[in-house]
Amino acid sequence: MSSQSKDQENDDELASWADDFKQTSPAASPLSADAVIEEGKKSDRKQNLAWVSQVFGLLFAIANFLGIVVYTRSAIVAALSAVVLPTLLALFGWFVHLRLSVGKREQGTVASFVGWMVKQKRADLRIAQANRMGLVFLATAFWVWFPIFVLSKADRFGAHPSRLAFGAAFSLVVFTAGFLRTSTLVRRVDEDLVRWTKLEASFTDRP
Amino acid sequence: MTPATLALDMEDTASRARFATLLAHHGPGLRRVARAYTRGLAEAADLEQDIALALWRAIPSFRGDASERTFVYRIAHNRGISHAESRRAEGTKAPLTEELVDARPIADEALDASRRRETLMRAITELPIGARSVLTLALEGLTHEEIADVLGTTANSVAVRLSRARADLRSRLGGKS
Repeated sequence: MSSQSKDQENDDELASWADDFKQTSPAASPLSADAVIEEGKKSDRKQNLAWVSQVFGLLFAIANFLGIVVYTRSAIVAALSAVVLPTLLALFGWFVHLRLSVGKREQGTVASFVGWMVKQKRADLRIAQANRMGLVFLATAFWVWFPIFVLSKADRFGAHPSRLAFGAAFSLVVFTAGFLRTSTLVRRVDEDLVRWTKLEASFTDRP
Repeated sequence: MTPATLALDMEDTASRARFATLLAHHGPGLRRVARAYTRGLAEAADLEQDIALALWRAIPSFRGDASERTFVYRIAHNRGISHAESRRAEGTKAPLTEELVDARPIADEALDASRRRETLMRAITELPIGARSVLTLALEGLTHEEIADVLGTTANSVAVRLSRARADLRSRLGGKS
């Protein structure tokens, strides 16, 4: 078969697929512009509320932590704040950046959008890993402190051993549940990142 | 009414008119994009609404840097890909639409037009996302340059990707077209 007739056959094939493809939804969209706009306003309100609560939550956490640092004037708390405060501020900056760039990235090319999603998933993974590490740190500190606390109140807990058992069991459940939850989140975000990275490769031109 | 609120009102009216025009021109195309990234008609309708919403929100920042068609299809495909990826993350195996469920092999001559279209659509929804995006844009009638502008690549790269996507689709259709 000559290359010209092969090209013609390919063009015919594409044209035939295009006809069939267009026939799958040939009619005008049933969506009404006004209904979409009203729906958009409702969902904007919900999104804005969620965003404001996220931002205020973080600002509240930062203010609280600063208050604790000033109130306690403890060296340990001050050292801890050197890690916690920059983390909270970085998180705050990240949320603001996400919010401001959401519209822009959707209007960009597919390749840039996918690239952006990879960056977002990478940041989400770091946040999830930091959450898990923070929880592990907190749990370790708690279980070091807990026996010391119990020994210092031995007479009180000796009279009410059920309170001690309940407190220990409750703490164990809370920390275990928290660890499982954050671990699941890390695994999910990691899987997301792998999928988006593969997708990014399919939109990147190979040399 | 103050001049400022009057200006805002006029801007809103202009945006609404533009949105209605975009929806009228590109509505069927948007619906096909939504179907290509979903596995059922109900899910496709939700995605179509989602794409339309994204389009409405994007209108105020459209400055004509790209053509209107490119602008619309960039938003539609970005939303579609995002939707398809989140469905994959959920591991959802949504049932195919009634007309897509029946996969009995039928001889070429026995396939009626409706059946053939559904077979084609099913094969498209099974393509990898990269191939699906380039092929659906070509089927909508965009030129290689326009597709390159939507995807963020070159026209040469589009030609190569399209050729691979067509081969993939052809093999999924069992060499039938």
